[in-house]
Amino acid sequence: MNGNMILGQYYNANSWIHRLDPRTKLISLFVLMITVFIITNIYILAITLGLIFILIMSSKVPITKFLKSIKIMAALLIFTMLFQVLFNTQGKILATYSFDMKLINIAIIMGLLIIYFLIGKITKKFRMLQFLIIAVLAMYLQTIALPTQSLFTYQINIYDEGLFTALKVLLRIINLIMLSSLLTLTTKPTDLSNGLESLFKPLKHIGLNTSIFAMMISIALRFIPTLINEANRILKAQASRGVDFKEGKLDDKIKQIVSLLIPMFIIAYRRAEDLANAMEARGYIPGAERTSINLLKYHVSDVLVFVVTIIALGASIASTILL
Amino acid sequence: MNIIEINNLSFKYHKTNVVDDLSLNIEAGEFICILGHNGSGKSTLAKLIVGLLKANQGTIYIDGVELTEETVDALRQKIGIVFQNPDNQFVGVTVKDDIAFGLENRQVEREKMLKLINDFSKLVSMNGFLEANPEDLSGGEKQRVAIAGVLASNPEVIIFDEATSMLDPKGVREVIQVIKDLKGTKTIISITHNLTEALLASKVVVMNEGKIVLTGTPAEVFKERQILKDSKLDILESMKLLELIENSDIKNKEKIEEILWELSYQM
Amino acid sequence: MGIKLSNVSFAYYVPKSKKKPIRFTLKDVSLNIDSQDEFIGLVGHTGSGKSTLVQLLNVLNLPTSGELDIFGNVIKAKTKVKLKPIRKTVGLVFQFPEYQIFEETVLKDIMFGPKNFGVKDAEKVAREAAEIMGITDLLDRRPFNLSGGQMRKVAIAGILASNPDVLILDEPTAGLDPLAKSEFLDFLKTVNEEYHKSIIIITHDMDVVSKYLKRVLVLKQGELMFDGSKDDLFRNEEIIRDCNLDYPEIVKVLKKLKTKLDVKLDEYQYNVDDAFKEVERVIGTNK
Repeated sequence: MNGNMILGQYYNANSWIHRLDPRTKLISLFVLMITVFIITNIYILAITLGLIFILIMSSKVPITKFLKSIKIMAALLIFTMLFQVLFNTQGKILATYSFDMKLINIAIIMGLLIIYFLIGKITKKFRMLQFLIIAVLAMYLQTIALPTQSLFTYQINIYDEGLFTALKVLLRIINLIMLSSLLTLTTKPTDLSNGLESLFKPLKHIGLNTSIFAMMISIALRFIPTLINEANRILKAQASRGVDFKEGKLDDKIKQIVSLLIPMFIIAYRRAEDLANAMEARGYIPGAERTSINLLKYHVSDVLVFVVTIIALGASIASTILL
Repeated sequence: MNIIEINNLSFKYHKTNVVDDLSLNIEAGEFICILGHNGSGKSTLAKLIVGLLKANQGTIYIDGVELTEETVDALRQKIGIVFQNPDNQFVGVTVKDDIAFGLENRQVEREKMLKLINDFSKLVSMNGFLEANPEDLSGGEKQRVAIAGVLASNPEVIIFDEATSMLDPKGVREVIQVIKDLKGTKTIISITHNLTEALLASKVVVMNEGKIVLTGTPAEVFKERQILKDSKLDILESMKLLELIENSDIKNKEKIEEILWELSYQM
Repeated sequence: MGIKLSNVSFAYYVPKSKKKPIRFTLKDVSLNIDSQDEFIGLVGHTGSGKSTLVQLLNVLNLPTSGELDIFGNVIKAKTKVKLKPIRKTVGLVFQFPEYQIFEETVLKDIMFGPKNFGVKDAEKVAREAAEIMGITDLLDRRPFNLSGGQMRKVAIAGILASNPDVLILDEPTAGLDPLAKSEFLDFLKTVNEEYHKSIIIITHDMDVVSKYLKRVLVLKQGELMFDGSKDDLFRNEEIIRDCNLDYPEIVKVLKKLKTKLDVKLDEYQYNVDDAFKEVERVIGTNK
């Protein structure tokens, strides 16, 4: 297993995006994110998504990796969109729905939730889908005539602005997710860290010592795979002593977690001591001038990317003013 | 010429003298082994020599210059140290980055770094692994990278602080081979409780409770079986057999004893 | 009763497509371990599957194929039994076990295992285990102030306290200096002889095998290449060569002595006293 890939993001391939200088990617990402925020026209946002899609295709990274990132944000996306649809009261009303919360609806909702949890004990698949079905069913049953007493009624109005804004927000968020995934999927963590160090070097002139931060990040990256392996070893060792995370009351669970954390802390402490000694013995002085084995060099492709990014920014500003 | 001079060195930890009024001279080019059980003070001595710890009493001279807070940075360029834990001294994300670490600290320019990394990774047979991550390497491989990193800065003295204690037999063999190849080119201080390693040295110093209790060639030191036992060190199997034969009535026992001594060296 | 492995194979990752080859860490291993008096050495190069094998014995993993019978509990690939009670019967001490310690006092840490396994009166069994390990004077101390060797004894007491029927130790003498090492092994020998517990030790050190162990299991690339007495192992030149094993120091000394003196010496002696007696027997005395 490649240590660099353990962070879960970097996908090894040889595309022009992979080969770009990490600083180019960092700066372009930043500028392009601003671009996405500036754009207000929904059609331009859609076009932007299309362009990003083309970039994704040329990155030689399977699209499933990108879709995974969206999946992670799915809850946030749905919540934001619902918020817009329900509470944005600008523009014309497109549709009105009346809901009647009756006694029987409460019983039905509780019944559905119980079914949801019971299914959860059997299988963990399609949880989100199940939840959506139950939510839709619960809402629908409040619109049709049912027996028992009505507790209260309410209306939900859907405005065209609301729908529109929801779509805009969706497109914007997806654009941002896709852009940042493009960065993390095509750039090794160590290259990212070197790129950041290089970009932040000028801060030295206002007294901020970034080289120490860069060293910290670099050491963290170096040890993450080691720590993961160690955590596994300790988990196994404690399992041999009867630790079973699936069982036990809250008290026991806390102790189980402690039995994992304390050894990890102790190993980390000893490691820090040893590492500090080794680094000091090899002449490391925090904050002092050092040369670097890694060389970041801009190429023609980097310059082209910069130019295109600036054009994109310009175009987005123009579109906002003109449209 | 003494490259290292240690005079009446003492170091206290929690009211006990971990190193107790110790004096030792090491000649340039010498291969010296410091033998001692865990807790004898040998690793503390190593840390004192490279200035990672500050002695309570006594002085250390490296190449004629006294080791003080002001001189430690410059003197560290003359001494390299390889520690016991292969993981806890591996700084770089890759082998190449790790070997470069010491050179970067000394502000060596990049072109020169690349050449040094090339040369020294070849010396320890790790030149095929320059882009490897430490997690993918064995203990022996990581230690060899550590040695390359230390050698690249061209120190005059190199200390091996129990460098083979955490390795499997294959790793031990690999590292001992590298140490053997270095013999004669640098001043080597090998700190260990492994008697086979001690045989590589021209001079052996036995430590117990912070003091030096025995000095001599390996042959001279291994004769002192009682002192070794008192210092909580084990003795070679061949030496144990020798002891039994010496006290027996076996025919031609002198010849057998001679062969056993010879064998001890070849082990 | 005891432990029985029948054609056990293990792979960490089984690819979903049947066409892709499976990388087995253990291949088709069959062996029996008696619940009493065994003192077994498990040897093999790094990566030969030793750790995987002992982790299977402690049911930290399930076999990919084949059958494990641990004191009557049959375990196969799809077994859904509760594994915790089975883990109690086989005590596994990992390498550098002092890293498992986390409680405030030595006594509490030793009690942790028995408590998890639901042993009644965990304190009593903890004190008993401390007595076996010779650390009763340390029970109220904070474990982190102890020496490495002492912490190791605390960790092992923690496993012993659950009263496993078989004790497995992964490189128990790793990092110990020679004297601490032989003291520790002498001690394990006592546990084996006095309490009749079967003990399996994973080791690289042929001297440990030669001085203390009775039976040896040799693994090479996941396969069990040898299962027999240490004498049969060392006399088998082919296996030694094939599995890249070393001879114990004393055997090496005797081999060279045999060649140099050109005598009919039986070089396969496993401790210095026997070696001396053999030399005396062959060379003869001046009397």
